[in-house]
Amino acid sequence: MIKAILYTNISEKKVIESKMFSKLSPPKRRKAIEDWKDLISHFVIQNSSSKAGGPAS
Amino acid sequence: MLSEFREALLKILPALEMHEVDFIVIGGAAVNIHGHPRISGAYTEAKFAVDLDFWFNPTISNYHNLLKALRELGIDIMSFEERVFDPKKTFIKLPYESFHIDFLSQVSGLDNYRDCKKNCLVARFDDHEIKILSYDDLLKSKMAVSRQIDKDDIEELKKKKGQRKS
Repeated sequence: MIKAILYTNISEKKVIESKMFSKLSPPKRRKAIEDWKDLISHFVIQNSSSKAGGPAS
Repeated sequence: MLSEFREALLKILPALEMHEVDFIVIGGAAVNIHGHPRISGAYTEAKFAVDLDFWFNPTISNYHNLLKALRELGIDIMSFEERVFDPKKTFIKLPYESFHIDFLSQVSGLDNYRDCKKNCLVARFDDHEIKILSYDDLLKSKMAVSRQIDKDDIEELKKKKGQRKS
């Protein structure tokens, strides 16, 4: 079960991330990066207002 | 096969929708969607991080909707369920093994959630509609934080926008 962490200072976010991600092995880091790329590739822009930078190519 | 990250998001989004959680995608994902492909916060080996950041509308009712959604997902929120929500200080992290999903109540450089929401891009993620922080608001936020990664993002995002105009 995922245990959510509540924190009350944004600087805690970086400290927590640094501690947790430093434990990841290189293969798991590579997998995390591949998973990230996969995730991003599934976002499809539906509108692009004049204020926006436009869709990723 | 679904990646673990995509699978997690595909579980989370329906729960957020069901409980009408009001949120915007910010951070590295927004940077990517606006055309600068980089890995979340993984800008150096020493500072490796892969996370997806959501900015939630910092109202008490929206916070409680978020808690309901997380509870429905079977996420353990027992430790802070009774704590008082502070819209300027309360953040929630879901720490999966190789990535994190964060819900932030405030974003540097951006004061008004509702105004930023009006400016958002709308994207689809599978069958889900999802709001993405606008280009201008993303730059505003990056300028306010101004770490090296933010400066690099600003430069790359401006280049991309220039390329699209030409």
